[in-house]
Amino acid sequence: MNTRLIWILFAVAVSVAFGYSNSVQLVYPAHFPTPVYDLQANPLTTSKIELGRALFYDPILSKDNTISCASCHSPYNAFAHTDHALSHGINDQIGTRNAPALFNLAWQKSFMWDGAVHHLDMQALAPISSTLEMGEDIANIVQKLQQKSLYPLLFEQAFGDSTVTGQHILQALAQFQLTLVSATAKYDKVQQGLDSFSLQEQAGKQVFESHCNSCHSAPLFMNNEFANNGLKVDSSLQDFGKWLVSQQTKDSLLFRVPSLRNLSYSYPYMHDGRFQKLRQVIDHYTQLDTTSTLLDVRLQQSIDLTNRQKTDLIAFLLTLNDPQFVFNPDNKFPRAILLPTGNE
Amino acid sequence: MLSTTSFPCFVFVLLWSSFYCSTSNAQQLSIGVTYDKQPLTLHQKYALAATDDSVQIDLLKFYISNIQLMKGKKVVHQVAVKHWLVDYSDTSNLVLNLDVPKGICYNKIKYNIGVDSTTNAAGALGQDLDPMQGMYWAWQSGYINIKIEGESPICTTRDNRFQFHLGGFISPYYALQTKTLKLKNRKEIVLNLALDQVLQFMDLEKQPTIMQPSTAAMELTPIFSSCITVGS
Ligand code: HEC
Ligand code: HEC
Repeated sequence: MNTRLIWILFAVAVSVAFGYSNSVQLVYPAHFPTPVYDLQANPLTTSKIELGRALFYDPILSKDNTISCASCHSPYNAFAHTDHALSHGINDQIGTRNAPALFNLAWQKSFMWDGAVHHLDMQALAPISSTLEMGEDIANIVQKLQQKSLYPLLFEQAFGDSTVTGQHILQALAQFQLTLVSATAKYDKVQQGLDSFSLQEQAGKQVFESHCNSCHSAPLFMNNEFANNGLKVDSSLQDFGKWLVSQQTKDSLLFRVPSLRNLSYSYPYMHDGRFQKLRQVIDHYTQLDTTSTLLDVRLQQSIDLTNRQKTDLIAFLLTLNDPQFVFNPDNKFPRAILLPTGNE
Repeated sequence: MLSTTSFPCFVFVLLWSSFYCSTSNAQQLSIGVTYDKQPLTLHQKYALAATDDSVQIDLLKFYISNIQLMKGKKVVHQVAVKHWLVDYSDTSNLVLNLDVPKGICYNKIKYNIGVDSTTNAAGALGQDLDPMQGMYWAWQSGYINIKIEGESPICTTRDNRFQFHLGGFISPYYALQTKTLKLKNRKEIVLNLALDQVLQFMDLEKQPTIMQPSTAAMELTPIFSSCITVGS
């Protein structure tokens, strides 16, 4: 038995012996609203979060053990993926959408660009089962994890039961992802009176408030809605967004309004990753075809910005970058658990 | 015509004879599935009505939920197991203990076929609702209420397979079915699904697959639940 297992056994023994409850609170600042996620239904504990973190980084969740969640959601990209516009799964297969950044998921009401998923717990089933992503089956993952020496111990520690179940896998993965809170950007520090905007950022904030905040609403910079922001349909992808889920005409070409935090880390942008640079995004919004009937009403008045205003707007958007979140060691690959000592 | 004097007496006899009162808490609900009145055997070929083709069923799973025993309109017993996944390939799974307290009298059973919307919108659940049971749509949220899979030469699909995954919890495709059935006056409760009758409403040639909440699923689900009757 290696030292890692001994350590875990020791931790289990200690927590059992002292009835130690390792429950933790979701930490977020006062200017954030109450989370949407029902934390009472799946109360956070350190051991569940750590189990979820191990699962998130472990390629064992894919059919051929090559792709982990982190393969497409990298911590350094605010848990998005920057090498490819469209996601890459097992056997180098290309998906149909850009992997979104993952943070502040506790405030999100639905998931995926088209809102196909209604609960964070259930989200992981989608990439696990997709033949273009991980190509695996949750029942098979349960068996693979049960056969490892590591996981039954981690499940025992987290859930008081060494039997691996689909429910516990999903709850643990959700817990780790719930802790991915981005609330330490310059913007947040200004809200807390710890910092102040430059004149340029202040000017950009004004542009933002007149043209963008109705959908990308502060402080989360999203509004849990779906909208058409004027992107033309990519003829090869033929992606009609929310319509794919509801099959109702009113939902055609609606996509989830993404958060604008951490944009410097999470490029390329939009559901198909069509824009590499923020400047291209701003140009898209200033060149909208406002006569289009599909376009959201909030964008039907044309946005005329001088070059100076565009630069100001970008300066404001950059205050939403949260390096403290992106480089937080607690969110990274859990080397101590996944790589046995002496193997590094 | 009944005379006024014999009428109350008649009602009394009717009520008296139509309740079953439990004598122990060993009451069980068992599920039977038949094809042409014979117990269904999975992977066996049967004649497909109104065609020259054969059909075989390889997988049959469905949820029965929120089971209640009633006396008239009154709920007298709520079964503790909220969601029961009936998997026809697992014979040990076709009987559910209802845990009816001694002395409770009932004459009807009420249940849902499928998973209600509140449960669908909840997070990860365990036991029969654990997604590892294979009854959760992965690419979108929601439980599959009923899974019927098999093969028939009439299907023009790969390997002649048909797959019906029926479910949906959001309007206009909320597929949950609620049924109330009158019970026979006896200890065992048997519900029988006449699968051959369900198949008569499935156009295996034109629509061999239903894989998402849809109008087609909304049409087939009530047919499925109406083919369940109290058996003997
Ligand atoms: C092959 C790349 C790939 C892998 C592997 C992958 N994802 Fe994703 N992820 C995506 C893509 C692409 C989307 C957007 C899908 C869509 O909109 O249809 C997404 C969406 C998400 C979302 C929704 C985010 C939002 O804002 O709506 C979450 C949460 C998520 N993934 C978590 C995970 C977890 C957990 C795993 C591991 C079990 C995982 N992903 C594995 C590519 C991937
Ligand atoms: C009507 C609502 C609405 C308004 C107003 C709006 N957006 Fe968007 N925005 C969206 C939607 C919807 C998307 C996702 C579109 C897609 O991928 O199909 C999006 C995507 C983006 C993205 C890409 C983010 C990512 O992670 O891929 C950026 C950047 C962005 N918007 C910036 C802005 C700016 C700057 C403004 C103001 C000039 C603005 N938006 C105004 C709805 C809106």
